[in-house]
Amino acid sequence: MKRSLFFTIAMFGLAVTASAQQGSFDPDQNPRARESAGKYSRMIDSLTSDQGATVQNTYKAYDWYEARDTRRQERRARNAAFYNSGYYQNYGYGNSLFYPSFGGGYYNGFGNSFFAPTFRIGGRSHRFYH
Amino acid sequence: MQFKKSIAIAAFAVSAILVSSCSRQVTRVNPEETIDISGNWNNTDSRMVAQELTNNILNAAWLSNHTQQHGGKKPVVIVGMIQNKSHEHIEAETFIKDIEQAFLQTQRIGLVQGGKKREELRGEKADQQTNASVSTMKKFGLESGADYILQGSINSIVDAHKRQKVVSYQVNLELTNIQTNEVVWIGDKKIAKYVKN
Repeated sequence: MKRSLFFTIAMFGLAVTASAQQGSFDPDQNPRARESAGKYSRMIDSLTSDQGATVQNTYKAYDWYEARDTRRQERRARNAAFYNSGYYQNYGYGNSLFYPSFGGGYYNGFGNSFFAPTFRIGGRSHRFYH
Repeated sequence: MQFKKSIAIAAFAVSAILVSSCSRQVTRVNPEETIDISGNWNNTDSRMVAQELTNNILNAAWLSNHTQQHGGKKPVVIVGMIQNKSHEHIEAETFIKDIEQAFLQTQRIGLVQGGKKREELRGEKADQQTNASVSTMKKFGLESGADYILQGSINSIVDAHKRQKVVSYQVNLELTNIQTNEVVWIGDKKIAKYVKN
């Protein structure tokens, strides 16, 4: 009887201590702390997922050489798109984009060999700009 | 034959020049050293701002006023938003961290975490409520409330004509009492640069 009474009291004391530790309210604690706990308990995963990781918030710094290369690439892509689009049709009158023409390029076609420099490979003549 | 040989030598010389001009050289320099290349905002500007504003904020009257009014208790500051209204990308964190470091080194001003770092702290605290042992679990509602908030702005003025340019930066920081909304300190640092291309 005595033993069971002692056991009951001990268990009660332990329960009281545990609950006091868990739900004890510090005199300086914010009375609305539970609201905050509830709010953040719903966001634990998103708020702690980056722990131990490096979040890369980088930006692209200006580099003169890089900017020049980018400009060149963009220009080449633009030109390639233009030549492949079908709007540009080279009838062998020379490249009107680079060579100013008179008479809508018709005249320039005949004067092509004069305006556009050529080079020879294997006995065949080629233009620099096509 | 002689002609071919001279062409080969010339080609070798040209390729050597090209290779040497393309090779990149990197040298470690002292971060305190002033190296201006483009005229844009750089580490020297950041350091100058940090030095000036740290010196200014630590020696201003608000600090002694606060300690007198609160029985020697040091003020707690939170860093708020810094608005970059200049024409360049400027990361305010580089000089703000220097200022925060000075606060902690002098032990005259306390700091509390704000922004995303504070959110992460609270997330960790919430996680502890269900996972940490009772003796090590941290409670909600016991954070230190900041007394003051440090906010600021970065502005710039560019005056350019042909190859000449004058760029002026102005970094403003202000400290406001959170309780009373009273601005207790304003500091600024102005930097002007003349760039000639």
